[in-house]
Amino acid sequence: MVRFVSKTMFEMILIIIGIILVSTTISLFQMKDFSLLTFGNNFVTITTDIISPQNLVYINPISDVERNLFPIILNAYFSSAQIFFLALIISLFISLSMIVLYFSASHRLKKSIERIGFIISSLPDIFLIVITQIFVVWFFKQTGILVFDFVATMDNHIVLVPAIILSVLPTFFFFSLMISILREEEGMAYVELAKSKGLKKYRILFIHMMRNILISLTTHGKHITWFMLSNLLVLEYLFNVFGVTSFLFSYNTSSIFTVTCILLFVPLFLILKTLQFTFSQKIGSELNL
Amino acid sequence: MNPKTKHIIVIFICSTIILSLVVGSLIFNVVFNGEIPQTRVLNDDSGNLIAIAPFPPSFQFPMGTDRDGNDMFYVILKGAMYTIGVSLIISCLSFALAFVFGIIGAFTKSKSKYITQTLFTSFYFIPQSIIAYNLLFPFLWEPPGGYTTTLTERIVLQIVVLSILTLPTTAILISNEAVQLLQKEYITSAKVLGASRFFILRKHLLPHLKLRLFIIYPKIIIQVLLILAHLGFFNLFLGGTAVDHEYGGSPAPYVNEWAGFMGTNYLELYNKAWIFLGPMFFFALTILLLNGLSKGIENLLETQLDPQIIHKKQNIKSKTIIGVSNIKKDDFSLVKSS
Repeated sequence: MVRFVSKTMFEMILIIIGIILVSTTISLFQMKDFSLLTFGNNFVTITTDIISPQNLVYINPISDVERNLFPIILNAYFSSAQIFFLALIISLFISLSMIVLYFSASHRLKKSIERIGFIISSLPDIFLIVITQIFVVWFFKQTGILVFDFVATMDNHIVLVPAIILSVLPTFFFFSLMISILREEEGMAYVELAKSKGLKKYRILFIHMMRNILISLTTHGKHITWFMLSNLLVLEYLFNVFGVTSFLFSYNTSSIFTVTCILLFVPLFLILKTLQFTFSQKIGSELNL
Repeated sequence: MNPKTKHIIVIFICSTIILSLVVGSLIFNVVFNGEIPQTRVLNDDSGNLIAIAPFPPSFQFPMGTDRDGNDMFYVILKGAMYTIGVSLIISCLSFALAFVFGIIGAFTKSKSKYITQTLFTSFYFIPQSIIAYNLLFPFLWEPPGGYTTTLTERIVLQIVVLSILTLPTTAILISNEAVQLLQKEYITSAKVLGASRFFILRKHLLPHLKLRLFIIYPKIIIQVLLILAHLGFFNLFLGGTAVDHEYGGSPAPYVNEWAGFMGTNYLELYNKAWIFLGPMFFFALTILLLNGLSKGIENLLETQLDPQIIHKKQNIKSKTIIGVSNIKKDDFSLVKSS
């Protein structure tokens, strides 16, 4: 336990140093000055800045008003976090119910579900965002019901729509991943034993196979966060949501970029590591997330 | 149908469509000088004005025209070469470098490898398109006095920056694949027999890794295409963004490629949707085909590497036959008759 925690802390510090290095490189590009001395200077500046983040100021790109970064970024941060985790929960829920449908479908239906799942999961994120928008506009024109506002203004902030759109890609990613894991599991000895004992199909699926499927799913955690974060960025930009990603654009300083990245990284990393720890306790073998 | 031929057909179709897009675009740009037919107004037979651009998709303009009357089909055809071509170059560069670093990483087992790999894990938690945006903005966004660099210089810079940007994650991916193969038993026995690292790489690792790399490569192209598209939406285009500092017009691309076209025409989605949707559709199609290509290769390799899969299926069939018991009386003959 102690060893695990210290290893995790070490990794976390290394990754944070990696983030600082990335933003130092960005600051070099911004100054168009590529000398090692400037690199060192900027590295020191950014590191001191993130050690005392309460002094950082943020300049609004439109109104040029200077404010302290810290209360503001947290508002944006929580709205982004809401979107992110809501999307994650929605996609897990939908993909799980899809897998149940898939499990009970006939062989031919399975093939076509697989194909549709593959096609949707291989479409680019922006295409899906656009398609959803068109669908909502079309729906509005047909029925007069505005399912949701697209463009956020200052006083109404939207969470549900971006979350639903953000959940589309992970849903189908989870789904196709689960299918391939399910196939592997189906051939396992314990499933055959359960079948031969006369256990019901769904009992085997939910009680015996599902936990293995979910554990295998978490091994792709880093990959999932990777593409979901990049989707979130584009989504917040196109929907004009005041989210944490607006602090990542270059009209802000490199220190703000670093702070935002660390804020994004720390909770996700801790969640991944907690999952890894609990699962390695449960199944007794080491997972590397 | 034999599953193998089915996968080959999928691979063939996907690669043919992508190649024909690029080659068609190349021919259009080189042989026909990339001149896009332009129709600003439409007259009927007696010469009366009946419509002005933009025209919606019709028999005459299969994909409609944009606001200046440029035929969208040709606009898309012209852009294919730049978008797909640049992403091919970037992914090739990044892939070659990632291969070298990944292999070196796979063969070393020191503390420093662990540290560098963890350092580069930070790339998983920062969206790559935002790093690309921040790195390229000072060079691609036109400064008030105009550029001091040429178009070629900017494109080369963009290619180099993007290929370095996609390098860490690709290298980690390739290294993980190689490490998995290196843990196999035959590698250990080769080591015991005194094989050098280079020999193991050439004789034992590459033949297996080569096949896995064919699956990874289309994914890298997709990743690059997505970064290019995201940059386009953030108004940062291939080869620079023309900014009108005097009159404050909207930013415009220098090169007619898809990402730039999508980025500048995003707002058309609510007015003349086809202007935006045409390029978007082709962009999505390219990515879909690349994914199909990757999947096709993967399936093909599975059937080739694992004859057991086919074997297993036949086994299952024969099992059911035995279960039904179709043994006939004629199958037996009396050995001795009394």
